[in-house]
Amino acid sequence: MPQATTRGSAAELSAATTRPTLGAWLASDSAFKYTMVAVLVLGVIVMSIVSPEFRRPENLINILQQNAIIGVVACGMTLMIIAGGFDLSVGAVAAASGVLAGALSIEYGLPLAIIAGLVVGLGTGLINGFLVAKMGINPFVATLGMQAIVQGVLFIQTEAKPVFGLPDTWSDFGFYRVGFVPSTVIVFIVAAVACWALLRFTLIGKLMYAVGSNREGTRRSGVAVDRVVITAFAIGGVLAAAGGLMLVTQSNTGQPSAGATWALLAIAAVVVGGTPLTGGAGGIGQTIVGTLLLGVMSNALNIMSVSPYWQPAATGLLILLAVSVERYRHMKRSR
Amino acid sequence: MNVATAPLLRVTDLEKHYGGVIALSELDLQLMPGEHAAVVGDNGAGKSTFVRMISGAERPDGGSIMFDGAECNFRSPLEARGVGIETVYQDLSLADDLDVIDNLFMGRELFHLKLGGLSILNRKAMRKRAHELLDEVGVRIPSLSGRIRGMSGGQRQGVAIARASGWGSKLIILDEPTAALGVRETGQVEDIIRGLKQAGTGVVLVSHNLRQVFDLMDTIYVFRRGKLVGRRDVATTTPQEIVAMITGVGGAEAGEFV
Ligand SMILES: Nc1ncnc2c1ncn2[C@@H]1O[C@H](COP(=O)(O)OP(=O)(O)OP(=O)(O)O)[C@@H](O)[C@H]1O
Ligand SMILES: [Mg+2]
Repeated sequence: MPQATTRGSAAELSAATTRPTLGAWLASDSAFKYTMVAVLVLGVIVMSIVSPEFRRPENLINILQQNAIIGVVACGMTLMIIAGGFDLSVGAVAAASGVLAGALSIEYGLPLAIIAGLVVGLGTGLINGFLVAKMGINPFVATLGMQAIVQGVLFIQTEAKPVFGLPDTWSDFGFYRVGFVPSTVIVFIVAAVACWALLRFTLIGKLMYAVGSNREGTRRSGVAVDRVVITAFAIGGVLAAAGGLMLVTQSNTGQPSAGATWALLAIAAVVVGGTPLTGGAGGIGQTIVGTLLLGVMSNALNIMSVSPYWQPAATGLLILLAVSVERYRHMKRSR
Repeated sequence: MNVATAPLLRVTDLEKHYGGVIALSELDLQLMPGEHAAVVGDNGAGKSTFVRMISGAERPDGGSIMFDGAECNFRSPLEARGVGIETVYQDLSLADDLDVIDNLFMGRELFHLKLGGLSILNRKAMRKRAHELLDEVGVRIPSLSGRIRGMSGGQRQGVAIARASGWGSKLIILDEPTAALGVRETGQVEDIIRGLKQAGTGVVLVSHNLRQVFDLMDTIYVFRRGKLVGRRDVATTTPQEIVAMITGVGGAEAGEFV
């Protein structure tokens, strides 16, 4: 509802303000956001009551640890979706980054390996962004093509075999904790805060919303919209690569087959939190909520010994639910 | 018209085609500073094409544009804005998901700290300036942090015009600014346009509404099939004559009128 910082004779306009119906409430963004927070909190409370196993502190920390990686990838996905795109190549890029960094770290040490891994993400992200922005290729086609190419090259180079024998420094970092907070969770927090600040305070963040909301109009306002889209994809690629590196710290291997479900999971985390797939709106807060929601759901299904094959189906169901609600809200908004 | 002053805009032999379609050809016209000029014509006459050429949204295939005494070869809308030409498009200009302030300052943000894309936005300063801008143009908006999506057509168009007029711009182009508006909202936008006349800002108004054109404008430029068929002063012409020129009916061939 508009909190009227009323000026002048704005009174005549107040007749147009929406009446507080259920539909109007659902259509407002804050309502949806808080609904998802409520669902998350409620889910955690209910599970904590019914399952002693769930409420064990070690299990709760585990949920955070296991979902920090997808959370980092989802932060990048958030920027791309807000700017009007999305990226299906994040999983393949993460795997390539992890394998390359793992292999390089054996001879050249971690710092160089990590930089090389992130450069893989930056490069593929820039190419994705170029294809979408400059060539006008649909993000679905562009990034699906990218995922096939990266995966193909990766499988040929590694003969589909994992890279073993990595320095222990990887797992030393991976299982390091500050107090009770796992290092991967700290990486997630840093990525989330950085992306949040980018969206909230910086020019490029504002322009990502603008481009996702009305690309041609923003272009006609004199904004270099192509650069905005390419930047979003580049950051998305780097964060996907970072996710791949984080995975190496958990297994101490470079897995060429890693990340197969990441694109779906990351997109799910974004839209389940309440960021519309149509771009122009949403934010990192929603993505954090979505990530945790998916994590808690998956953990709960595990504890209740539901077959792991149900996991993707449950995720898919949640995505369809979230997108349906979003469509409904969209219809409400455009009256 | 004062012959001693130089024209603000001078377009010579402007030409644009889309594939085989000649959207604009042999277009010559001049606007004086502060002139409020209507561009009228049937659907597909080339009015919007003309607007896109002088606003930098697209590049012409031939001819030249002089603005404020300088040859212009706009490669982007930004360059046109740079010399003082602002454009308000019918539907395209505002980002619905963003609030009034973010839209008003699109491409012209104020910063705490300039660092390229990482520049830190100064929303407080923009809010203050936004109040002044909207007041100057006479637009009333209940909340500056409300999203454009929730606003009426008149308010949206008000924001778009305030954005165009607040930067010392010399010429504001309005492409059918009231086409989608109700009677009262149309009245609001027309008041804003009258305000621009008092402020001395030049206007090009594309409109199908002759009542509006005769109420608000100084001169009328009639387009037909990609060509300018004539220019009239509002004071000395009639709606009947303009309609005849638009439709080409009643012996109104191009040569007779130019
Ligand atoms: N992007 C484009 N691609 C192809 N043809 C175009 C394009 N834009 C305009 N045209 C054609 O150029 C001609 C002039 O179109 P324009 O949009 O300038 O007309 P208009 O006078 O603005 O009409 P209306 O009153 O309907 O807005 C038309 O024949 C139109 O079909
Ligand atoms: Mg038109």
